Amino acid sequence: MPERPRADPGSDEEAVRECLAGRTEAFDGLVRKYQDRILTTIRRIVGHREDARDLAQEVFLRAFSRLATFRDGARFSTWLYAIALNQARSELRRRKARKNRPPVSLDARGRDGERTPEPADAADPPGEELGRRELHRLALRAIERLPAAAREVVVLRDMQGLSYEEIAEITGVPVGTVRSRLHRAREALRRELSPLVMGTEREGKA
Amino acid sequence: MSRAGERELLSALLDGELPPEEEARLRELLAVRPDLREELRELEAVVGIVRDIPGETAPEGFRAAVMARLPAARRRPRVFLLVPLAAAATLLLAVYLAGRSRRGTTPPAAPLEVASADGTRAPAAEEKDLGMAGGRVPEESEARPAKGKAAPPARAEAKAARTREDGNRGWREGRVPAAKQGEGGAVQTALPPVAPRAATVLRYRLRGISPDAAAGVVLAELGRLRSEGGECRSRPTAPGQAAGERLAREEVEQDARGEPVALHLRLTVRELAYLRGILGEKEGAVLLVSRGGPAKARAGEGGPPAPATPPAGSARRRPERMPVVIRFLANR
Repeated sequence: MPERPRADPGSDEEAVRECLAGRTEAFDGLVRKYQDRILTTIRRIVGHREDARDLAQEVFLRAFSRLATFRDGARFSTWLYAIALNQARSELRRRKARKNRPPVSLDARGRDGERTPEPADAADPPGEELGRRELHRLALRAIERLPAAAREVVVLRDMQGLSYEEIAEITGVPVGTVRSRLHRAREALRRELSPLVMGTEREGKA
Repeated sequence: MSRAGERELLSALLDGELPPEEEARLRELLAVRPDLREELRELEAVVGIVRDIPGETAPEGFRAAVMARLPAARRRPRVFLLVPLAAAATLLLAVYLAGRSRRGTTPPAAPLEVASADGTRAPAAEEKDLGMAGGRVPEESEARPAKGKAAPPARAEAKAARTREDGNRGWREGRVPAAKQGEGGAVQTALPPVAPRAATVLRYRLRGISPDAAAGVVLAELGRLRSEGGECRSRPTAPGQAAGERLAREEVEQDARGEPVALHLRLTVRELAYLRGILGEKEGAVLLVSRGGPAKARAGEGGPPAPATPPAGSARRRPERMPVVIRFLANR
Protein backbone atom coordinates (compact mmCIF):
# COMPACT_ATOMS: atom_id res chain seq x y z
CA MET A 1 0.00 0.00 0.00
CA PRO A 2 1.50 3.32 -0.98
CA GLU A 3 2.56 5.64 1.77
CA ARG A 4 0.21 8.55 2.35
CA PRO A 5 1.93 11.76 1.31
CA ARG A 6 3.08 13.81 4.26
CA ALA A 7 2.15 17.46 4.41
CA ASP A 8 4.86 20.04 5.01
CA PRO A 9 5.40 20.82 8.67
CA GLY A 10 3.64 24.06 9.51
CA SER A 11 1.40 23.88 6.47
CA ASP A 12 -2.37 24.12 6.59
CA GLU A 13 -2.65 20.52 5.55
CA GLU A 14 -0.42 19.44 8.43
CA ALA A 15 -2.63 21.42 10.81
CA VAL A 16 -5.62 19.53 9.41
CA ARG A 17 -3.88 16.25 10.14
CA GLU A 18 -3.19 17.36 13.68
CA CYS A 19 -6.83 18.28 14.18
CA LEU A 20 -7.89 14.89 12.89
CA ALA A 21 -5.45 13.27 15.29
CA GLY A 22 -7.28 14.98 18.13
CA ARG A 23 -5.07 18.06 18.61
CA THR A 24 -7.86 20.58 18.28
CA GLU A 25 -5.62 23.51 19.16
CA ALA A 26 -4.12 23.22 15.68
CA PHE A 27 -7.40 24.59 14.35
CA ASP A 28 -6.80 27.81 16.24
CA GLY A 29 -3.92 28.66 13.92
CA LEU A 30 -6.08 28.04 10.88
CA VAL A 31 -8.83 30.31 12.19
CA ARG A 32 -6.28 33.00 12.97
CA LYS A 33 -4.79 32.75 9.51
CA TYR A 34 -8.04 32.80 7.54
CA GLN A 35 -10.58 34.67 9.66
CA ASP A 36 -10.11 38.04 7.97
CA ARG A 37 -10.07 36.59 4.47
CA ILE A 38 -13.19 34.51 5.01
CA LEU A 39 -14.99 37.34 6.73
CA THR A 40 -14.13 39.76 3.92
CA THR A 41 -15.20 37.30 1.25
CA ILE A 42 -18.57 36.67 2.85
CA ARG A 43 -19.16 40.30 3.71
CA ARG A 44 -18.52 41.41 0.16
CA ILE A 45 -20.85 38.76 -1.23
CA VAL A 46 -23.75 38.93 1.22
CA GLY A 47 -23.40 42.48 2.47
CA HIS A 48 -24.58 42.84 6.02
CA ARG A 49 -21.78 42.90 8.49
CA GLU A 50 -23.45 41.04 11.32
CA ASP A 51 -24.75 38.32 9.03
CA ALA A 52 -21.27 38.01 7.56
CA ARG A 53 -19.73 37.52 11.00
CA ASP A 54 -22.23 34.84 11.92
CA LEU A 55 -21.74 33.12 8.60
CA ALA A 56 -17.96 33.28 8.88
CA GLN A 57 -18.15 31.56 12.25
CA GLU A 58 -20.36 28.92 10.73
CA VAL A 59 -17.81 28.43 7.96
CA PHE A 60 -15.10 27.55 10.45
CA LEU A 61 -17.39 25.32 12.50
CA ARG A 62 -18.56 23.55 9.40
CA ALA A 63 -15.02 23.19 8.17
CA PHE A 64 -14.00 21.66 11.46
CA SER A 65 -16.88 19.24 11.53
CA ARG A 66 -16.06 18.19 7.99
CA LEU A 67 -12.29 18.03 8.30
CA ALA A 68 -12.51 14.30 7.83
CA THR A 69 -13.77 14.85 4.30
CA PHE A 70 -10.79 17.04 3.38
CA ARG A 71 -8.99 15.20 0.62
CA ASP A 72 -5.29 14.51 0.48
CA GLY A 73 -3.63 16.67 -2.11
CA ALA A 74 -6.26 19.39 -1.91
CA ARG A 75 -5.46 22.91 -0.76
CA PHE A 76 -7.00 23.78 2.55
CA SER A 77 -7.47 27.43 1.58
CA THR A 78 -9.41 26.52 -1.55
CA TRP A 79 -11.52 24.05 0.38
CA LEU A 80 -12.27 26.64 3.04
CA TYR A 81 -13.18 29.30 0.48
CA ALA A 82 -15.54 26.81 -1.16
CA ILE A 83 -17.31 26.27 2.15
CA ALA A 84 -17.49 30.03 2.63
CA LEU A 85 -18.94 30.49 -0.83
CA ASN A 86 -21.53 27.81 -0.17
CA GLN A 87 -22.53 29.56 3.02
CA ALA A 88 -22.79 32.90 1.27
CA ARG A 89 -24.85 31.43 -1.57
CA SER A 90 -27.15 29.71 0.92
CA GLU A 91 -27.67 32.97 2.72
CA LEU A 92 -28.54 34.77 -0.50
CA ARG A 93 -30.98 32.00 -1.39
CA ARG A 94 -32.55 32.18 2.04
CA ARG A 95 -33.03 35.91 1.68
CA LYS A 96 -34.48 35.52 -1.75
CA ALA A 97 -36.87 32.90 -0.43
CA ARG A 98 -37.92 35.02 2.51
CA LYS A 99 -38.04 38.23 0.53
CA ASN A 100 -38.33 40.15 3.73
CA ARG A 101 -34.89 41.60 3.64
CA PRO A 102 -33.55 44.44 1.58
CA PRO A 103 -31.19 43.55 -1.25
CA VAL A 104 -27.51 43.06 -0.57
CA SER A 105 -25.83 46.15 0.70
CA LEU A 106 -22.08 46.16 0.58
CA ASP A 107 -21.57 49.59 1.93
CA ALA A 108 -21.96 50.51 5.55
CA ARG A 109 -25.76 50.52 5.59
CA GLY A 110 -27.26 48.06 8.00
CA ARG A 111 -30.10 45.78 7.09
CA ASP A 112 -32.63 48.38 8.12
CA GLY A 113 -31.04 50.96 5.92
CA GLU A 114 -29.42 52.61 8.92
CA ARG A 115 -25.85 53.54 8.44
CA THR A 116 -23.47 51.83 10.77
CA PRO A 117 -20.22 53.75 10.76
CA GLU A 118 -17.02 51.93 10.01
CA PRO A 119 -13.49 53.25 9.56
CA ALA A 120 -13.52 53.08 5.78
CA ASP A 121 -16.75 55.00 5.79
CA ALA A 122 -15.42 58.04 7.59
CA ALA A 123 -15.36 61.31 5.70
CA ASP A 124 -12.52 61.97 3.33
CA PRO A 125 -10.09 64.63 4.34
CA PRO A 126 -11.32 68.06 3.27
CA GLY A 127 -10.00 69.33 -0.01
CA GLU A 128 -10.21 66.02 -1.84
CA GLU A 129 -12.87 66.23 -4.55
CA LEU A 130 -13.38 62.51 -4.70
CA GLY A 131 -11.22 60.88 -2.11
CA ARG A 132 -10.21 57.26 -1.89
CA ARG A 133 -12.86 56.44 0.66
CA GLU A 134 -15.60 57.83 -1.46
CA LEU A 135 -14.25 55.92 -4.43
CA HIS A 136 -14.26 52.75 -2.35
CA ARG A 137 -17.83 53.37 -1.35
CA LEU A 138 -18.91 53.91 -4.94
CA ALA A 139 -16.99 50.84 -6.04
CA LEU A 140 -18.70 48.76 -3.37
CA ARG A 141 -22.07 50.04 -4.56
CA ALA A 142 -21.18 49.09 -8.12
CA ILE A 143 -20.03 45.64 -7.03
CA GLU A 144 -23.25 45.25 -5.10
CA ARG A 145 -25.24 45.72 -8.29
CA LEU A 146 -23.38 42.95 -10.10
CA PRO A 147 -25.07 39.59 -10.50
CA ALA A 148 -24.05 37.25 -7.68
CA ALA A 149 -21.87 35.04 -9.91
CA ALA A 150 -19.97 38.07 -11.20
CA ARG A 151 -19.62 39.47 -7.70
CA GLU A 152 -18.10 36.19 -6.53
CA VAL A 153 -15.31 36.25 -9.10
CA VAL A 154 -14.52 39.92 -8.48
CA VAL A 155 -14.28 39.29 -4.74
CA LEU A 156 -12.17 36.16 -5.11
CA ARG A 157 -9.85 37.67 -7.73
CA ASP A 158 -9.52 41.35 -6.92
CA MET A 159 -10.08 41.29 -3.19
CA GLN A 160 -8.60 37.92 -2.31
CA GLY A 161 -6.00 37.71 -5.04
CA LEU A 162 -6.78 34.13 -5.98
CA SER A 163 -5.74 32.65 -9.30
CA TYR A 164 -8.22 31.77 -12.03
CA GLU A 165 -7.55 28.11 -11.36
CA GLU A 166 -8.30 28.45 -7.68
CA ILE A 167 -11.46 30.43 -8.41
CA ALA A 168 -12.57 27.77 -10.86
CA GLU A 169 -12.11 25.13 -8.20
CA ILE A 170 -13.98 27.15 -5.58
CA THR A 171 -16.89 28.20 -7.74
CA GLY A 172 -17.13 24.92 -9.62
CA VAL A 173 -16.93 26.38 -13.12
CA PRO A 174 -14.23 26.03 -15.82
CA VAL A 175 -11.31 28.47 -15.92
CA GLY A 176 -12.62 29.92 -19.20
CA THR A 177 -15.90 30.77 -17.49
CA VAL A 178 -14.04 32.46 -14.66
CA ARG A 179 -12.16 34.57 -17.20
CA SER A 180 -15.27 35.64 -19.08
CA ARG A 181 -17.28 36.31 -15.91
CA LEU A 182 -14.48 38.42 -14.56
CA HIS A 183 -14.24 40.31 -17.81
CA ARG A 184 -17.98 41.05 -17.86
CA ALA A 185 -17.95 42.10 -14.23
CA ARG A 186 -15.05 44.46 -14.77
CA GLU A 187 -16.65 45.91 -17.87
CA ALA A 188 -19.72 46.73 -15.80
CA LEU A 189 -17.55 48.30 -13.12
CA ARG A 190 -15.58 50.22 -15.70
CA ARG A 191 -18.77 51.68 -17.19
CA GLU A 192 -19.82 52.92 -13.76
CA LEU A 193 -16.53 53.97 -12.32
CA SER A 194 -14.19 55.02 -15.08
CA PRO A 195 -15.74 58.51 -15.50
CA LEU A 196 -15.02 59.10 -11.83
CA VAL A 197 -11.62 57.49 -11.85
CA MET A 198 -10.35 59.05 -15.03
CA GLY A 199 -11.85 62.40 -14.05
CA THR A 200 -10.07 62.25 -10.74
CA GLU A 201 -6.84 61.24 -12.42
CA ARG A 202 -7.07 64.11 -14.89
CA GLU A 203 -7.87 66.57 -12.14
CA GLY A 204 -5.02 65.18 -10.13
CA LYS A 205 -2.67 65.72 -13.02
CA ALA A 206 -3.91 69.24 -13.78
CA MET B 1 -10.53 39.32 -33.13
CA SER B 2 -13.77 40.87 -31.88
CA ARG B 3 -13.70 43.87 -29.60
CA ALA B 4 -15.33 41.82 -26.84
CA GLY B 5 -12.65 39.20 -27.27
CA GLU B 6 -9.94 41.83 -27.12
CA ARG B 7 -11.39 43.27 -23.92
CA GLU B 8 -11.53 39.85 -22.32
CA LEU B 9 -7.87 39.44 -23.14
CA LEU B 10 -7.13 42.85 -21.58
CA SER B 11 -8.74 41.73 -18.37
CA ALA B 12 -6.74 38.50 -18.31
CA LEU B 13 -3.58 40.43 -19.17
CA LEU B 14 -4.00 42.53 -16.04
CA ASP B 15 -4.13 39.35 -14.01
CA GLY B 16 -1.09 37.79 -15.67
CA GLU B 17 -3.34 34.90 -16.68
CA LEU B 18 -2.73 34.94 -20.43
CA PRO B 19 -0.75 32.18 -22.10
CA PRO B 20 2.57 33.60 -23.44
CA GLU B 21 1.58 33.42 -27.10
CA GLU B 22 -1.75 35.21 -26.50
CA GLU B 23 0.00 37.84 -24.44
CA ALA B 24 2.55 38.45 -27.18
CA ARG B 25 -0.23 38.86 -29.76
CA LEU B 26 -2.13 41.25 -27.52
CA ARG B 27 0.95 43.37 -26.85
CA GLU B 28 1.49 43.69 -30.59
CA LEU B 29 -2.10 44.89 -30.91
CA LEU B 30 -1.68 47.34 -28.05
CA ALA B 31 1.36 48.85 -29.74
CA VAL B 32 -0.74 49.93 -32.74
CA ARG B 33 -4.14 50.52 -31.10
CA PRO B 34 -4.43 53.64 -28.90
CA ASP B 35 -8.10 52.82 -28.18
CA LEU B 36 -7.08 49.48 -26.67
CA ARG B 37 -4.37 51.16 -24.64
CA GLU B 38 -6.92 53.61 -23.28
CA GLU B 39 -9.27 50.78 -22.36
CA LEU B 40 -6.48 48.93 -20.63
CA ARG B 41 -5.65 52.07 -18.65
CA GLU B 42 -9.25 52.52 -17.56
CA LEU B 43 -9.61 48.89 -16.65
CA GLU B 44 -6.39 49.02 -14.67
CA ALA B 45 -7.60 52.07 -12.77
CA VAL B 46 -10.93 50.47 -11.89
CA VAL B 47 -9.36 47.20 -10.85
CA GLY B 48 -6.89 49.24 -8.82
CA ILE B 49 -9.73 50.84 -6.86
CA VAL B 50 -11.39 47.50 -6.14
CA ARG B 51 -8.10 45.99 -5.01
CA ASP B 52 -7.51 49.00 -2.81
CA ILE B 53 -10.74 48.55 -0.82
CA PRO B 54 -9.71 47.58 2.68
CA GLY B 55 -10.63 44.10 3.80
CA GLU B 56 -12.64 43.25 6.87
CA THR B 57 -10.96 42.58 10.17
CA ALA B 58 -12.45 39.93 12.36
CA PRO B 59 -13.76 41.47 15.58
CA GLU B 60 -12.05 40.79 18.82
CA GLY B 61 -13.15 37.47 20.20
CA PHE B 62 -14.07 36.03 16.83
CA ARG B 63 -11.47 33.30 16.99
CA ALA B 64 -12.19 32.56 20.62
CA ALA B 65 -15.89 32.28 19.84
CA VAL B 66 -15.16 29.78 17.09
CA MET B 67 -12.88 27.73 19.29
CA ALA B 68 -15.38 27.81 22.14
CA ARG B 69 -18.04 26.37 19.89
CA LEU B 70 -15.82 23.56 18.68
CA PRO B 71 -16.31 20.94 21.38
CA ALA B 72 -19.76 20.02 20.09
CA ALA B 73 -18.31 19.52 16.67
CA ARG B 74 -15.02 18.08 17.85
CA ARG B 75 -16.18 14.54 18.10
CA ARG B 76 -17.78 14.49 14.71
CA PRO B 77 -14.85 12.97 12.87
CA ARG B 78 -14.71 10.28 15.51
CA VAL B 79 -18.31 9.27 15.06
CA PHE B 80 -17.45 7.32 12.01
CA LEU B 81 -15.08 5.12 13.90
CA LEU B 82 -18.25 3.46 15.05
CA VAL B 83 -18.98 2.33 11.55
CA PRO B 84 -16.68 -0.72 11.69
CA LEU B 85 -18.24 -1.56 15.05
CA ALA B 86 -21.70 -1.12 13.59
CA ALA B 87 -20.64 -3.34 10.70
CA ALA B 88 -19.50 -5.97 13.16
CA ALA B 89 -22.81 -5.70 15.02
CA THR B 90 -24.65 -6.01 11.74
CA LEU B 91 -22.58 -9.06 10.96
CA LEU B 92 -23.67 -10.75 14.15
CA LEU B 93 -27.23 -9.90 13.24
CA ALA B 94 -26.69 -11.28 9.75
CA VAL B 95 -25.33 -14.53 11.13
CA TYR B 96 -28.36 -14.73 13.39
CA LEU B 97 -30.65 -14.06 10.43
CA ALA B 98 -28.89 -16.58 8.27
CA GLY B 99 -29.23 -19.16 10.98
CA ARG B 100 -32.95 -18.54 11.12
CA SER B 101 -33.49 -18.50 7.40
CA ARG B 102 -31.72 -21.83 6.99
CA ARG B 103 -34.37 -23.45 9.12
CA GLY B 104 -37.07 -22.93 6.55
CA THR B 105 -37.64 -21.91 2.99
CA THR B 106 -39.33 -18.65 3.97
CA PRO B 107 -37.60 -15.75 5.62
CA PRO B 108 -38.07 -15.49 9.34
CA ALA B 109 -41.47 -14.18 10.22
CA ALA B 110 -40.68 -13.31 13.79
CA PRO B 111 -39.77 -9.70 14.40
CA LEU B 112 -36.21 -8.87 15.19
CA GLU B 113 -35.35 -7.47 18.50
CA VAL B 114 -35.03 -3.78 18.02
CA ALA B 115 -33.09 -2.23 20.80
CA SER B 116 -33.62 1.44 21.32
CA ALA B 117 -30.83 3.85 21.94
CA ASP B 118 -30.91 3.40 25.68
CA GLY B 119 -30.39 -0.30 25.30
CA THR B 120 -33.92 -1.38 26.02
CA ARG B 121 -36.01 -3.45 23.72
CA ALA B 122 -38.62 -1.74 21.66
CA PRO B 123 -42.16 -2.98 22.18
CA ALA B 124 -43.45 -5.60 19.81
CA ALA B 125 -46.11 -3.29 18.37
CA GLU B 126 -43.47 -0.81 17.38
CA GLU B 127 -41.41 -3.53 15.79
CA LYS B 128 -44.35 -4.36 13.61
CA ASP B 129 -44.83 -0.74 12.70
CA LEU B 130 -41.18 -0.42 11.85
CA GLY B 131 -41.52 -3.11 9.26
CA MET B 132 -38.52 -4.82 10.68
CA ALA B 133 -40.06 -8.26 10.41
CA GLY B 134 -38.23 -10.52 8.02
CA GLY B 135 -39.52 -10.82 4.51
CA ARG B 136 -40.81 -7.27 4.22
CA VAL B 137 -39.67 -5.54 1.07
CA PRO B 138 -39.92 -1.75 1.12
CA GLU B 139 -41.58 -0.11 -1.86
CA GLU B 140 -38.50 1.86 -2.63
CA SER B 141 -35.20 0.86 -1.30
CA GLU B 142 -31.55 1.40 -1.77
CA ALA B 143 -29.45 -1.56 -0.95
CA ARG B 144 -25.77 -1.08 -0.48
CA PRO B 145 -23.33 -3.93 -0.72
CA ALA B 146 -23.23 -5.84 2.50
CA LYS B 147 -20.13 -5.13 4.51
CA GLY B 148 -18.99 -8.70 4.90
CA LYS B 149 -22.28 -9.64 6.37
CA ALA B 150 -21.93 -13.20 5.16
CA ALA B 151 -18.40 -13.55 6.44
CA PRO B 152 -17.85 -15.69 9.50
CA PRO B 153 -17.36 -13.76 12.73
CA ALA B 154 -13.65 -14.48 12.79
CA ARG B 155 -13.31 -12.37 9.68
CA ALA B 156 -15.16 -9.41 11.09
CA GLU B 157 -12.09 -7.77 12.55
CA ALA B 158 -10.07 -8.48 9.45
CA LYS B 159 -12.82 -6.97 7.36
CA ALA B 160 -13.06 -3.91 9.56
CA ALA B 161 -9.29 -3.57 9.43
CA ARG B 162 -9.37 -3.83 5.67
CA THR B 163 -12.01 -1.13 5.59
CA ARG B 164 -9.69 1.05 7.64
CA GLU B 165 -6.76 0.28 5.38
CA ASP B 166 -8.44 0.61 2.03
CA GLY B 167 -10.89 3.31 2.88
CA ASN B 168 -13.49 3.95 0.30
CA ARG B 169 -11.80 5.94 -2.38
CA GLY B 170 -14.65 5.40 -4.81
CA TRP B 171 -16.89 7.95 -3.15
CA ARG B 172 -14.45 10.61 -4.22
CA GLU B 173 -15.69 9.97 -7.71
CA GLY B 174 -19.23 9.52 -6.52
CA ARG B 175 -19.39 5.83 -7.27
CA VAL B 176 -19.59 2.69 -5.30
CA PRO B 177 -16.11 1.27 -4.84
CA ALA B 178 -15.35 -1.52 -7.23
CA ALA B 179 -14.01 -3.67 -4.45
CA LYS B 180 -17.30 -3.39 -2.62
CA GLN B 181 -19.33 -4.02 -5.71
CA GLY B 182 -17.61 -7.29 -6.16
CA GLU B 183 -17.95 -8.38 -2.58
CA GLY B 184 -21.72 -8.65 -2.28
CA GLY B 185 -21.96 -12.15 -3.61
CA ALA B 186 -18.38 -12.94 -4.43
CA VAL B 187 -17.13 -13.48 -0.93
CA GLN B 188 -16.60 -17.16 -0.30
CA THR B 189 -18.10 -17.96 3.03
CA ALA B 190 -19.08 -20.89 5.10
CA LEU B 191 -22.61 -19.52 5.42
CA PRO B 192 -25.14 -18.93 2.67
CA PRO B 193 -25.09 -15.31 1.49
CA VAL B 194 -27.57 -12.99 3.12
CA ALA B 195 -29.33 -10.46 0.97
CA PRO B 196 -28.20 -6.93 1.78
CA ARG B 197 -30.75 -5.12 3.86
CA ALA B 198 -32.81 -2.59 2.07
CA ALA B 199 -32.16 0.89 3.29
CA THR B 200 -34.68 3.34 4.57
CA VAL B 201 -34.72 6.26 2.16
CA LEU B 202 -35.55 9.82 3.04
CA ARG B 203 -35.71 12.25 0.16
CA TYR B 204 -35.56 15.91 0.94
CA ARG B 205 -36.27 18.81 -1.34
CA LEU B 206 -34.00 21.60 -0.19
CA ARG B 207 -35.28 25.15 0.04
CA GLY B 208 -32.87 27.94 0.69
CA ILE B 209 -30.23 25.58 1.98
CA SER B 210 -27.42 23.97 0.09
CA PRO B 211 -26.88 20.20 0.07
CA ASP B 212 -23.57 20.93 1.74
CA ALA B 213 -25.27 22.76 4.57
CA ALA B 214 -27.98 20.10 4.87
CA ALA B 215 -25.40 17.33 5.09
CA GLY B 216 -23.48 19.37 7.63
CA VAL B 217 -26.57 19.75 9.79
CA VAL B 218 -27.33 16.03 9.74
CA LEU B 219 -23.76 15.01 10.50
CA ALA B 220 -23.32 17.59 13.22
CA GLU B 221 -26.61 16.60 14.87
CA LEU B 222 -25.73 12.95 14.61
CA GLY B 223 -22.35 13.61 16.16
CA ARG B 224 -23.94 15.55 18.98
CA LEU B 225 -26.61 12.94 19.52
CA ARG B 226 -24.08 10.16 19.76
CA SER B 227 -21.65 12.01 21.96
CA GLU B 228 -24.43 13.08 24.29
CA GLY B 229 -25.96 9.64 24.25
CA GLY B 230 -22.68 8.16 25.39
CA GLU B 231 -22.39 5.98 22.34
CA CYS B 232 -19.28 7.64 21.03
CA ARG B 233 -16.82 6.01 23.31
CA SER B 234 -14.25 4.66 20.97
CA ARG B 235 -10.84 6.01 21.75
CA PRO B 236 -9.26 6.94 18.46
CA THR B 237 -5.59 6.60 17.87
CA ALA B 238 -3.85 8.50 15.11
CA PRO B 239 -4.33 5.68 12.58
CA GLY B 240 -7.90 5.43 13.84
CA GLN B 241 -8.44 9.04 12.92
CA ALA B 242 -7.18 8.32 9.46
CA ALA B 243 -9.74 5.54 9.28
CA GLY B 244 -12.37 7.98 10.46
CA GLU B 245 -11.37 10.31 7.68
CA ARG B 246 -11.90 7.68 5.04
CA LEU B 247 -15.04 6.26 6.58
CA ALA B 248 -16.53 9.69 6.70
CA ARG B 249 -16.01 9.90 2.98
CA GLU B 250 -17.87 6.68 2.62
CA GLU B 251 -20.86 8.16 4.35
CA VAL B 252 -21.13 11.15 2.06
CA GLU B 253 -22.05 10.46 -1.53
CA GLN B 254 -20.94 13.35 -3.67
CA ASP B 255 -21.58 14.47 -7.19
CA ALA B 256 -18.83 15.32 -9.65
CA ARG B 257 -18.49 18.79 -8.13
CA GLY B 258 -18.01 17.45 -4.65
CA GLU B 259 -21.48 18.54 -3.51
CA PRO B 260 -23.08 15.98 -1.24
CA VAL B 261 -26.08 14.31 -2.83
CA ALA B 262 -26.78 11.71 -0.19
CA LEU B 263 -25.71 10.47 3.18
CA HIS B 264 -25.44 6.75 3.77
CA LEU B 265 -25.78 6.17 7.46
CA ARG B 266 -26.39 3.46 9.94
CA LEU B 267 -28.81 4.72 12.53
CA THR B 268 -30.69 3.45 15.49
CA VAL B 269 -34.45 3.86 15.46
CA ARG B 270 -34.15 6.76 17.86
CA GLU B 271 -31.48 8.52 15.81
CA LEU B 272 -33.56 8.15 12.69
CA ALA B 273 -36.67 9.53 14.36
CA TYR B 274 -34.71 12.51 15.62
CA LEU B 275 -32.79 13.27 12.45
CA ARG B 276 -35.72 13.02 10.07
CA GLY B 277 -37.31 15.98 11.80
CA ILE B 278 -34.22 18.13 12.01
CA LEU B 279 -33.98 19.28 8.44
CA GLY B 280 -37.61 20.24 8.14
CA GLU B 281 -37.86 21.91 11.51
CA LYS B 282 -34.62 23.80 11.68
CA GLU B 283 -33.48 24.11 8.11
CA GLY B 284 -35.04 24.66 4.74
CA ALA B 285 -35.86 21.16 3.61
CA VAL B 286 -39.10 19.41 2.86
CA LEU B 287 -39.36 15.68 3.31
CA LEU B 288 -40.70 14.40 0.01
CA VAL B 289 -40.52 10.68 0.36
CA SER B 290 -39.88 8.46 3.28
CA ARG B 291 -39.77 4.89 2.12
CA GLY B 292 -38.78 1.75 3.85
CA GLY B 293 -40.41 0.52 7.00
CA PRO B 294 -38.18 1.99 9.65
CA ALA B 295 -38.74 5.52 8.40
CA LYS B 296 -42.23 5.32 9.82
CA ALA B 297 -40.78 4.85 13.24
CA ARG B 298 -41.84 7.25 15.91
CA ALA B 299 -39.37 6.33 18.56
CA GLY B 300 -40.19 7.89 21.86
CA GLU B 301 -43.71 8.83 20.82
CA GLY B 302 -45.41 5.69 21.99
CA GLY B 303 -44.89 6.24 25.68
CA PRO B 304 -42.09 4.81 27.75
CA PRO B 305 -40.20 1.92 26.25
CA ALA B 306 -41.11 -1.56 27.32
CA PRO B 307 -39.13 -2.96 30.22
CA ALA B 308 -35.82 -4.23 29.07
CA THR B 309 -35.50 -7.92 28.64
CA PRO B 310 -31.95 -8.54 27.59
CA PRO B 311 -31.70 -11.51 25.28
CA ALA B 312 -29.85 -14.43 26.72
CA GLY B 313 -26.13 -14.17 26.35
CA SER B 314 -26.11 -10.57 25.16
CA ALA B 315 -26.45 -8.50 28.28
CA ARG B 316 -24.52 -5.60 26.72
CA ARG B 317 -26.17 -5.65 23.37
CA ARG B 318 -25.77 -2.45 21.38
CA PRO B 319 -28.74 -0.79 19.76
CA GLU B 320 -29.26 -2.17 16.30
CA ARG B 321 -28.43 0.18 13.46
CA MET B 322 -30.26 0.12 10.20
CA PRO B 323 -29.04 1.42 6.86
CA VAL B 324 -30.54 4.80 6.08
CA VAL B 325 -30.06 6.91 2.97
CA ILE B 326 -30.79 10.61 3.23
CA ARG B 327 -30.97 11.98 -0.29
CA PHE B 328 -30.94 15.67 -1.11
CA LEU B 329 -32.72 17.14 -4.08
CA ALA B 330 -31.42 20.64 -4.55
CA ASN B 331 -34.07 23.18 -5.34
CA ARG B 332 -32.41 24.89 -8.24
